[in-house]
Amino acid sequence: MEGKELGLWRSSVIGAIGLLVFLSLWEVLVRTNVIDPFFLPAPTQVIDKAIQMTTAKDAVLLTDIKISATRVLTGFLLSVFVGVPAGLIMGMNPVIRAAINPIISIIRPLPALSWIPLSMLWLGIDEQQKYAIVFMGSFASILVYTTDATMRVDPILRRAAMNLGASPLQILRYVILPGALPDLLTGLKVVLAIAWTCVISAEMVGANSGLGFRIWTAKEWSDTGQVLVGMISISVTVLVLDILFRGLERVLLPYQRKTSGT
Amino acid sequence: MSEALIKFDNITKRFSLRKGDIVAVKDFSLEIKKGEILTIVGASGCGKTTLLNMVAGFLTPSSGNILLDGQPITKVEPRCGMIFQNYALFPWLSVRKNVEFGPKINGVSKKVRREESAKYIEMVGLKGFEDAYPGELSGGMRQRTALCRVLANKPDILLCDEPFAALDAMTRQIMQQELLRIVNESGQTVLFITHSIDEALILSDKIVVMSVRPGTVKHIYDIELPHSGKVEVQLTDEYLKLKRQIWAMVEEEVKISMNIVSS
Amino acid sequence: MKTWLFRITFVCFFIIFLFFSISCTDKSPSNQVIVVGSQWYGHIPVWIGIEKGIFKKYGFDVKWQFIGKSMDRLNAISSGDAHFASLGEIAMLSAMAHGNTRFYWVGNQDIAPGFEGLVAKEGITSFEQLKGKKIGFPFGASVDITCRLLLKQHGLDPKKDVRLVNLEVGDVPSVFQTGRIDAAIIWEPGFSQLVSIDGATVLGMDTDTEVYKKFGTMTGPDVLIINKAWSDEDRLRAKRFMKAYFESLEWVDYNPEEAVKLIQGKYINQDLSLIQKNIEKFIWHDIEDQRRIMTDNGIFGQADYIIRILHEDMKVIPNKPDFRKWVNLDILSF
Repeated sequence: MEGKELGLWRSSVIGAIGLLVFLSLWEVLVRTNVIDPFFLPAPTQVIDKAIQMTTAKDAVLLTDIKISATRVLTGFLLSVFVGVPAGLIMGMNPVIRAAINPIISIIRPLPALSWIPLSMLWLGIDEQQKYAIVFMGSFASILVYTTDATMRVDPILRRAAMNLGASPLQILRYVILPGALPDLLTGLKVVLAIAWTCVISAEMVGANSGLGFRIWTAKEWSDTGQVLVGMISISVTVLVLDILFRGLERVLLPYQRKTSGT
Repeated sequence: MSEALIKFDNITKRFSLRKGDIVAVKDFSLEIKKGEILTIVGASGCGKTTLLNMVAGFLTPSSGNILLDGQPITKVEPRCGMIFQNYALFPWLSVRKNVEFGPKINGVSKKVRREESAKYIEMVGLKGFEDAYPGELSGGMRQRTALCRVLANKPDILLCDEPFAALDAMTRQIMQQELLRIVNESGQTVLFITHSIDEALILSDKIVVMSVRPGTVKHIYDIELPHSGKVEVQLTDEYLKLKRQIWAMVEEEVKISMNIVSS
Repeated sequence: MKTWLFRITFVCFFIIFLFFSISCTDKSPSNQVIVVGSQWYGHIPVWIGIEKGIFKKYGFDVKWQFIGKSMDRLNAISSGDAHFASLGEIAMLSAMAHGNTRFYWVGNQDIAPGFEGLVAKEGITSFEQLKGKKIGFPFGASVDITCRLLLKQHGLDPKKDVRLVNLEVGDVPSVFQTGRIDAAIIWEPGFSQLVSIDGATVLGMDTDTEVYKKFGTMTGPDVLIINKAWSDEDRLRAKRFMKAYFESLEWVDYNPEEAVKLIQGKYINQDLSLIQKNIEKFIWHDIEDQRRIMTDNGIFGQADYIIRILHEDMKVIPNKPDFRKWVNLDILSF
């Protein structure tokens, strides 16, 4: 009974109330000078700043979002194209898995930020370097999620397919891939959010646009309001992408929606 | 005896474990004729599932050969269609797509596929549920789908690994009758594994009782009960006498196996 | 039920312990002063004060902590974790415009023009050739303004005619060396590294800008900042600290060669001869100079000028802060 769902409508109403209480408390604390607005501007001040950044003559916010999204999605898709096939192979072949696992264990905990020096040395300061930062920040996780998803496919299904005459390639195409898809999509959703956290690292050097860049320069100019707008923009963008991803899941996994709860 | 569809020729299967080798099956010989429904009963751990997996080609015997139509089985054999206890249906495919899986990967055209699947779906009584996903079905319907999927692949023999063990008693009874009806309709050869003596008696032409570890043939019964699958059969004297005999034999083996476990 | 109670008690104790340990670490000895800064020559008086024991003489235990960027130093002071620093004027003015009131502006310890310049790679020898090229520097630093001023003076629009690239201070020389940017602008010690690269041409220095011509200062002069709460808490202590600081500065002014020897290798990783040569160009402002410089005729006029550029031309600050409210010269009267 403890894990009972509240239902979409009720949970969103409660969520909205929670958010409202949080924002009001924040607003009051700043307006009564309990919190110095220089350290943390009030929500209304942040909204003002956001409006200013979207409507002014040289408005930058929407362009920033677009540019950052391009960088993140390019790096992320590169990770998917390399990580998913590699993960499938690793999931199916214990020898390859045993050989690659230690390497992945070394790479995976490295923060995207730590790749800046090497990526600059190898790729310079252009867009490739930014894609590389996002790639390095998300690749190992995608590989691990794919491997796990592949390994979680019930081995009895492989047997059933073999018994029906499927070749190894057909098993990969018709059993492993669709069988791993639900876990794989869940993993990719998590990694997409991780990829967004890399944008700060990716836009630390050699950038002159993007949300990460905007946060860094706002810091140099002591513009806390703009820092917050940048941060919230990242959250909102990830949230929107998450919703889009859910839509993709519904399209790709129709059977899950129909059979949920059984 | 040349008409044997499956022939176990002195099969031994050893598994190497860390503690040492375990002989699961030893010197096992048996023949299954075309059109026959043969059931293997035995205590758990007597190696009956190992036997089935060897026929399907998932395992290879340590010594001896299993012959299918006189040819040794060396790889996974689609001609031996397996029905798993846990259905093993593809949850992302509808009933129809599950049934068409075998024909599809074997290159049967879409049109023929559709016609055949419709025929088999009707045969197992799933008409109207073609577009449902396995997750939406009851256990009995899932097992019908699994049966249907194997039949659509036109195997020479049906291997059933305790297929009704996960079902409730009533559904189980109905499924047993259904299986009999379908098998009688199509003249399928069936190798059935169960630990339920009732199930064996209702379904089989022949019952093989296995001894435990190492698994060998202990006794073979030819059953001449009417195969209507009707519940009434179970109340006849002949039925009860057979049941008592087989149970006495199996009980002995169960006790042995429990002693082995506890020692 | 028993384990449940045990767990709750355990968690409570853990939280109390955490609070206790945090509040304990917060209590640093009252004579300890945290000073933050970079490898820039403007910090020499602090280093000498530590090395020669001048701060100790006045009863201070000064801890030096490296923070490379001006705004990061200012934030460290605003948070209360650091007490004193020298930093670039631009970061200070920008923080003022955004309403940071946690510090005093107490001085301008030096004039050191000619230490930051725009350097182009091989093949580029004039501003005209810079058109459409990439110029790298740390955004928001003094070079940000120097670069814009130089470009404008030569008829180039910083927004349209060139591509400006944000780089970390330390990355500028290496990125320039690989040829991935066409020009770079940075101050010492990075500037010497840029000039030493084969084929590099100095296109302009901060001394070429209108700011230098008008006020005789660099674009972003060094300013001295002190934590407000720490000063207000004990005025005499703050005065005593400033006295010690300016005593160190005077010692540096009179013994430049010896000063450089004391700090080279420990605080700056540059050749001794290079520091010696550079330090000759430094004009130190002692305590007497401060009364003359911290006026409208001195650095305040220059600050007004920079504020106008920041607010009107670059639009990076939302208002023109009245920086005089942050100035505290009382601390310097002892």
